[in-house]
Amino acid sequence: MTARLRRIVRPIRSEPVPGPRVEPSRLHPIDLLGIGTIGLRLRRGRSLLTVVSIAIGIAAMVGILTISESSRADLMASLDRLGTNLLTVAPGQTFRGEKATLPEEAAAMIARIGPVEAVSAVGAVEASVRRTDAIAAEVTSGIGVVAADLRLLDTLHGSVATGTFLNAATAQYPAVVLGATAARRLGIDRVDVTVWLGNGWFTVVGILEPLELTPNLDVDAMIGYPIAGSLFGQDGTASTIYVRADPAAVTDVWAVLAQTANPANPSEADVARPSDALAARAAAADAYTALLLGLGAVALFVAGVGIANVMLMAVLERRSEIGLRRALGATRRHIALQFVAEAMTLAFLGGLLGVVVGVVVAVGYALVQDWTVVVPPFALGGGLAAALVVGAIAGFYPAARAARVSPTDALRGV
Amino acid sequence: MIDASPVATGGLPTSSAPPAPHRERPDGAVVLRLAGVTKSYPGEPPVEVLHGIDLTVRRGELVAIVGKSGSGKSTLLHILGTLDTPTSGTAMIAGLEVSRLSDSDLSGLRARRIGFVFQQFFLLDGQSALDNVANGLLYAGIAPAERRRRAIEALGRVGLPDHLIEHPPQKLSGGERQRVAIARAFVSRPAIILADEPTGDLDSAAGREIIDLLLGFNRDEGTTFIIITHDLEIAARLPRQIEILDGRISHDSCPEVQA
Repeated sequence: MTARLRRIVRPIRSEPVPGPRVEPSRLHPIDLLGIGTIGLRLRRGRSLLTVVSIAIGIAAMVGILTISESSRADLMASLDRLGTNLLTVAPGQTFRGEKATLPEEAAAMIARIGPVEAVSAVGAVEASVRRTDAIAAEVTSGIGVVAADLRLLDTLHGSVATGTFLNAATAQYPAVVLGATAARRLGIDRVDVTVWLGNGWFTVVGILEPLELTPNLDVDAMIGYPIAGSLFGQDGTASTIYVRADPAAVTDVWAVLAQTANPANPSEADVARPSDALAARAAAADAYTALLLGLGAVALFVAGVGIANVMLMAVLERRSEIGLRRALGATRRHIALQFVAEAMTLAFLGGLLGVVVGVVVAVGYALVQDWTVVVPPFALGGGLAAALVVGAIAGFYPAARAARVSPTDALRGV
Repeated sequence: MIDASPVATGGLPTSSAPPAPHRERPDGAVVLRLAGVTKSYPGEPPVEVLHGIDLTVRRGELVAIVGKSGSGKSTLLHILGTLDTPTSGTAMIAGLEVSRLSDSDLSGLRARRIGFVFQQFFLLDGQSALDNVANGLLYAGIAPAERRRRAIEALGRVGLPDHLIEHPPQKLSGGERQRVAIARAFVSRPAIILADEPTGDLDSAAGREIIDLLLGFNRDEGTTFIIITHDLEIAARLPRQIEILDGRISHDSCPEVQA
């Protein structure tokens, strides 16, 4: 009875009784994911194009990173194989700008440096080599002739493709070992044939495999010092001395090399490390990678602008949906999150596609180049993360616009 | 007790007969109260759409709001639904003063206490009828499976045949779409349902069925309805009619309800 009385009495009060506080609006994250894909499903063609545009940017970046890593891995493997402990000493220029020479005993003196493991010298020979004597002397094909000592191949860690290197016997006689390029230019692929060297016939006793660290020797024809002395007046001086140092003491050896090779004029001896050229190639490749990554980033930026554009269009087209959602209890924040989620979903799908395409293309390229395939994990994760960041940034402005849509205007304006 | 005038209402399972309108004064708690509400839009000079509206609606009332186009009916409905705020005056909805609530609280109020039915239905084409109804609970923090269960129940309640519940809205007739929209408004069991010309896009038979449906909810669940309509015949079926003219209440059939 009391309850009934109260029900009757209550309406007479001038102020309504305050009800319990209302629970704020809530949206589960999993539902956010669901509503973030509604727009994509509704406009598949447009979504696909946007996804592709993002995928192009991401694929470019992932592809470039993978190719560059594979190429670098290949260079590093070469460096590991060839070693970074080979040094060269060559005569430089005198103070007056004339071509200097190294003392005859330079190689022997370098060999006395403690951490030096092997020393070999080659000396330039004033002669040309041709396939036959019927070919004019001017047609040298760019092949030089050098006198080489017998330890050269060991010092360089090189190997013969066919035949043998010079030995104590063949060094006395008209016998020649051809570098890989020199043999190809002469059209020779087997031993025991003769070539016209200087003014006489020399027998080819060996052909070398390409020398990766000292490619200049690939275009040379090598003869023994004794025969070079007797036929061409080579006086035993070296045009280049190859020094294999203890890997732990390369810098120490380097520091004393010029002094040892030419004690009278250390400044006239040029010391170099051939492996530095490979390292420089790796550094140059890094610079290119940075440039190409920049281009990829531009593509990604353009794709981001595309997403922002598509999302802005979606906000205009879906005003009534926004109004409806507000009527159903969505807060401004929920509306904004929905559009950001949609932009990020687009970007994520693009990122996923881009990573797959980028890796496939890069792996294909690396295989064609015969490189070890290295897919850097940071490129995969970074690709997806970059896509998501671009999506979030691109979705931000359209989402803010969507959140500001007045629900009353949106529900009226149809 | 058997209703005296059974009329077919398109397969409504629980309210197959329209309820007899009851004219007696509702004695429920106040669910809506506007006091001196004005609404103006910025401009030179500012456009004042509502002038000093005083209105009290109690739980379980059925109110028809009639008036010409541009009289301010929709603006009034938007203020009642917390989609818009008064320029001056106070609006109390479900015992809470609207001007003191944050966006999140107002949204919570709409998610749990207020349902909307629109002339244009506003159903999402990319989703099935069932998902559209479940959207009515999306922002109330209810888990997906439970939303679905309640949506199926609500669709049964509005009499949408089972084979249509997975259909997208564009494959439904106008009357069926409005049933889906009513199910969406009703699924959260709100205290108040605000309907803006719910029969405006329907033929008269379908329109009658929709009004029967709303009257059934009012009778069975005690839901408060405020319905904007042009149709005087529909207005006459509701116990209380309010006429809006130039932003003012020009006629209220039950002014005594106002405290």
